[in-house]
Amino acid sequence: MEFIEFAQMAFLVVVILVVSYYLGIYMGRIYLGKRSFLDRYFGPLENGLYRLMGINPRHEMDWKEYLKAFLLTNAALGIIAFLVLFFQQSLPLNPDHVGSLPPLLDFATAASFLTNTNLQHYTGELQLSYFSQMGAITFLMFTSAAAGIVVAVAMIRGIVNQNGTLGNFYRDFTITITRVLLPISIVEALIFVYLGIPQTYQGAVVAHTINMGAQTIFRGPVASLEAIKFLGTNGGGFYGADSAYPFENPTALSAYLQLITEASIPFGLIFSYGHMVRNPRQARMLVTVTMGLFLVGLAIALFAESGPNALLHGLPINQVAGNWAGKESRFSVAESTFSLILNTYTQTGAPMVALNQMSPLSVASAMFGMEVQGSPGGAGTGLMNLLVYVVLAVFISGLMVGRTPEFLGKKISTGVMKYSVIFIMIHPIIILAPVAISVMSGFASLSSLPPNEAFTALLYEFTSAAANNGSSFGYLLTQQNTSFFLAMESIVMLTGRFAPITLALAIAGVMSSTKPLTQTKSLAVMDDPIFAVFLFLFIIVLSALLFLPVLALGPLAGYLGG
Amino acid sequence: MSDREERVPHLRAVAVMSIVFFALLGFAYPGFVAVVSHGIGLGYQANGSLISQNGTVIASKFIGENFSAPYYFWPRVSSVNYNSSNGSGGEAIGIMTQQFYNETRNYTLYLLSTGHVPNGTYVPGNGVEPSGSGFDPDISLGFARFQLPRVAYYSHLNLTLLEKLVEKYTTYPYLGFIGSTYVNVVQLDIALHGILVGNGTIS
Repeated sequence: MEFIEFAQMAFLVVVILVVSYYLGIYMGRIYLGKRSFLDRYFGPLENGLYRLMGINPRHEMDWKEYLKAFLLTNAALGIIAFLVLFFQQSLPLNPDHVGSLPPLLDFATAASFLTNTNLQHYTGELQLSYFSQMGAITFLMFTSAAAGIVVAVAMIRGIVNQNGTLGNFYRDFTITITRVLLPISIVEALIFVYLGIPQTYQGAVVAHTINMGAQTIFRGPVASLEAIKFLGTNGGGFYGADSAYPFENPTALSAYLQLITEASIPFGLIFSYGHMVRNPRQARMLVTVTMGLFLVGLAIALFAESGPNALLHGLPINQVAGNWAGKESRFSVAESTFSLILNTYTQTGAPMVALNQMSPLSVASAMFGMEVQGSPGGAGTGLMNLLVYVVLAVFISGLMVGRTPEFLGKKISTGVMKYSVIFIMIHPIIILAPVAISVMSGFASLSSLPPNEAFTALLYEFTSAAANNGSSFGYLLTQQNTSFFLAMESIVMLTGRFAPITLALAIAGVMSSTKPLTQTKSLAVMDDPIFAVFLFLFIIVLSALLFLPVLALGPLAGYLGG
Repeated sequence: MSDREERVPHLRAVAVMSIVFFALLGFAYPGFVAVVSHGIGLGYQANGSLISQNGTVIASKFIGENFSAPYYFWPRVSSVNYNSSNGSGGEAIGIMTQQFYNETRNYTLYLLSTGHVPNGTYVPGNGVEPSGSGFDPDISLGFARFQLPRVAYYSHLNLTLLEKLVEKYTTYPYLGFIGSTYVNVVQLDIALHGILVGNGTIS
């Protein structure tokens, strides 16, 4: 790695931390209901919407009502998106006359974008109309991000409140869109157009090239999708190649903007948490731990990508720059690698590389990020996972020193522990069981990839589905096994999204009904720097215990065995 | 606590909210971005940064093409051979497999045998390892320089002129460190094409 690449990495990390801090504090303030100058502009619009909906935004919901509103909203959003995709052929804004998709693919796609996963088993430029790209994809990118964020906010309220309430779902959901996601997306989309991302309703244009005959250039409303794709940690591309495609990511500047954007809400919400529980020190500790985990993953991948490919040793190839395979010329190898790790550690899933041609060691590091899910994790869901890790770590460390485990002054009750343990167990089950079923049933072996790569791709696929990440290896699915994978992945994505969220809201509900202990009895474990080290190691050990055996069978074997 | 007993019309709230946001986020927002970007003079980018000659679209600055004639600079290896009806993306085969070794070796030897380069020259990795999208419009500066002898030989242009041309379409890192150093091979070859047509080398 050259010095310039170290400068790139350092610059990205610093800017991400600064932007997340300010965005996080801003978000903390709006969820606390603090007044801001924006009230004058957004207030009347929001109130108009509340009146139309027939709700009182100041009505406080307990966890069951919050969950009910959450699930009903998600059901409605999913149905709208499914209908848009299903009737794509007969709907307008389809200048390239794309046909309809198989109904199972419509369902899997709606499930994928509803759950903030964005696994794609279609090629956007060939198979989706502009109506679908906007009315199903862009639309769900906003709502799935908002839905994830409000769950994190509800959890924070559960920690702070003492009356059993978590806030008003409809208000939280609405202001997340009107005050955070939409204004930032509008500005960012315009910057993206300036940098070269298309935004047009005209159909594809045929270029009469000077040397290869006709070439179809696919266009569309791309910039508006790109902005929310990153801000909402979604990751589903307009084109098949996603963020490697030049129209999605034309220059290094667009790449930096995308990387900074996708990290700003996951890290930002940790600062929002510190602001809302009035313990900024705690937030700094959690940001240090999550950034530490991310940097470990990044270091492993940079080591793997910046060195020469040993297999090509002896061929007259200049490999000074590292592994160029699967990467675009306009980004340095280090920037491309950073994008893979950030996209898996934030559950965005739009790396600007082709996964099949990354070093197996980088792939292992990327998978580790999707197994942890909280370093820093997706928009909202990342903080949700992180808080569950904190609960478990506090409990274990409390037992180790023989004191009552307490979370910011509240005793951790049996209910919270029970839900937290189930929460942690869901993830390995919905990854490992489908992988086993795919292997035993023989569907995985229908892939055209070589055996070790096929297993890695299979493991990656379900890890990505379960973590609601959305990045994936190409060429795992073939005509014979597509239906099997679409059905299995839909189940995994929906379970991986809604089961942990239900448990998280239940945890929040229990904590919200818990009265804080008096100061004399409590032991402030969480404010000790030692706790940060403990939490860091706890997360690594827990994930390693659950996943190291399968990682050894897949990418690690690929790295060692060649 | 009268607040707690308040009845919330959930179905109505959900239906209204979903439809309003469907219209706002799915249609008003992309439409607004399209109208504003065209309105503030970004129409060229918004329409795909197209390059036209005599009223005919011949390329987009950002979409790679397969320049295969020996008097052009060649682009990177593409999984879809720059044919957009094949979709887009990287190649399937992992970099630790025998198949990858064989393909890379064969193409490396091909580039060396056609390159008019002195014995012992190394091919830059950027030139033989496939791109991530299949439509990379750029090559590394090293790979462009590697191709100079071949292009000079077949285009009958002198090296200094070609070096200047490469330099013209080279992008250096922003602020000295953001991004890589690369050459836009689409613009470079179109410029080269113009010179060759002007000289009567090709028609």
